[in-house]
Amino acid sequence: MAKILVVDDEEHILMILKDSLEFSGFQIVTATNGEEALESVAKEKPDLLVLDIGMPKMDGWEVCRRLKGDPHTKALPIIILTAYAQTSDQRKGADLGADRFITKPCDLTYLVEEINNLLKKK
Amino acid sequence: MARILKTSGSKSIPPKRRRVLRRTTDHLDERLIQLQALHRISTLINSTFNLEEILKVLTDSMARDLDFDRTGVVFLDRNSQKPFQSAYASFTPVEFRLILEHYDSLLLPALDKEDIFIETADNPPPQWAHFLNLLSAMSVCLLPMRVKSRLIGFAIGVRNHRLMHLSDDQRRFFSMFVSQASTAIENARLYEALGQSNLTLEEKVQERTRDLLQANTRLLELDQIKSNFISMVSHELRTPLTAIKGFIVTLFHYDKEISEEKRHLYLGVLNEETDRLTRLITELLDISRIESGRIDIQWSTVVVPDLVQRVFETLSMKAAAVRFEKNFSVDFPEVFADSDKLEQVLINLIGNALKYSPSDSRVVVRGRRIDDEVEISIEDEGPGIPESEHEKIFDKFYRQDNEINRKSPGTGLGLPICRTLVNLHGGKIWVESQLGQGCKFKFTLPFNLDKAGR
Repeated sequence: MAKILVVDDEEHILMILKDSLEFSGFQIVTATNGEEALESVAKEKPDLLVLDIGMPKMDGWEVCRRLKGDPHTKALPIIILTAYAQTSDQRKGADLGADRFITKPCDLTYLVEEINNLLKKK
Repeated sequence: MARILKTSGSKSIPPKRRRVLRRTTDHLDERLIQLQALHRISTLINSTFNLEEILKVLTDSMARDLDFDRTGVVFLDRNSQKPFQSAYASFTPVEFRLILEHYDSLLLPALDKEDIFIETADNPPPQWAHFLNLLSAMSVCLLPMRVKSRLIGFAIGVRNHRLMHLSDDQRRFFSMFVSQASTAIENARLYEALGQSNLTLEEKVQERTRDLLQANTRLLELDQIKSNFISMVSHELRTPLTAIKGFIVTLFHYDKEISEEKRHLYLGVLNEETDRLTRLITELLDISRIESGRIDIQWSTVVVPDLVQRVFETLSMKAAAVRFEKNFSVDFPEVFADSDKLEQVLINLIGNALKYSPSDSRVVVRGRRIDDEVEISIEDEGPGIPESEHEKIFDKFYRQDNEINRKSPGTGLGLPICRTLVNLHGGKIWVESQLGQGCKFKFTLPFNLDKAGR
């Protein structure tokens, strides 16, 4: 069973992401800010990351920059899931090496599809 | 004719004729000098608009061609007709000051009277005797300079040791001389004024250009602020929508997997998130109305403790475990304010206090009078706010990072709206707090009419 780390500071969003992904057969671990996310990546060794951007302590941009800049975590697929919806944000995500950029609100079944695609590629 | 020719051709001219001839030659010499002087002056008119140069040539020429020992020129102000600019070739500054001191009483009447005024030391009227004495002169001559019969100034010349008497011929020459000089000077002054006004015009153009550039920069900044605001609004609206859509899609898609208990929880969250969205939209409209100046303050007399009581009653159903108290000083006056706006401020502040209050704690609203203001304080026993965030919490969309905010996020607009509304009343709002010590949100309102901006 693939293990997915879901990072979001909004409690309700985190709740429904966790539930729906579990219903889809994934094992879910969660974090509510960037710092927790980095700790969890090291400890839980997830197969994929669903990452919010606007978060306290450390934002998603920085998490993405660090993970994609580190040879040990470079291969970890990252799906950015954010309410930042401008083209410039998408470009920034691509520049940082994120594998997918999905704008909130989104259909969670689409998220599940994208997760499966990325895991297959891996 | 033949006789004259014969006589002039002869070597032996009789003494009488010789005298006549010499007189004629002298006369011609004098006329030649006069014509040369006039020529110099008229050349000057056409050659330069430089006032200083003209003045120099004029005073030099007066000394040489009109045979003065000391000369000076005085200009009159166009409006006041008082001396305002002078050039003196050979007077000392002290002497020239003496001349100006006598302008109103002595010189002006003389200038008004005659084209060329001369006074000499042989039997002058007493005040002129005094004046000549002051300048140590035997003769003084005033040459009024007129342009189209308006007095623009005058030239003054004195002879130190000689009495001065002019023939009609000389008088005519002096007149022509000074009239040419007047034209030259007036032209130069007009030219200078034109230059000045060009300069002023140029300065004005530069100033306007600067203003426009500044306005443009400010507009660009405002545009940037506005587009930042719009992208923040977009982000803030998408967040509750994400939760709502997430729950609905999950309820649809995983219908069989979801327990009754969970379904119930989901519906509760959906209800909360739609409330949050509604609140956000209301507050966004509020803030855009306030910021575009489309808000009317309906001034009336408000009894603040009554208003606080009403807010307590509105909020009490959400606050079973919190005790509301109010404590207003006896001299707390009625204030002149907009009752609805003030209620909005109180709901926001007391609502916030409630949100952060632990069970079995108090929310106290105090009111007191300080000089011609009232201060209202909303105090809770919650976790408090670190000093580094005391200003930030009044920024639009700023939300503190804490457990309570994650569970029940606000819109990030409540406090900015409170600040704007309090400012509109002419008051201030701030927070006093330390981590773990609870919060005191305080705001002031001026209660006298003048200060309320009426």
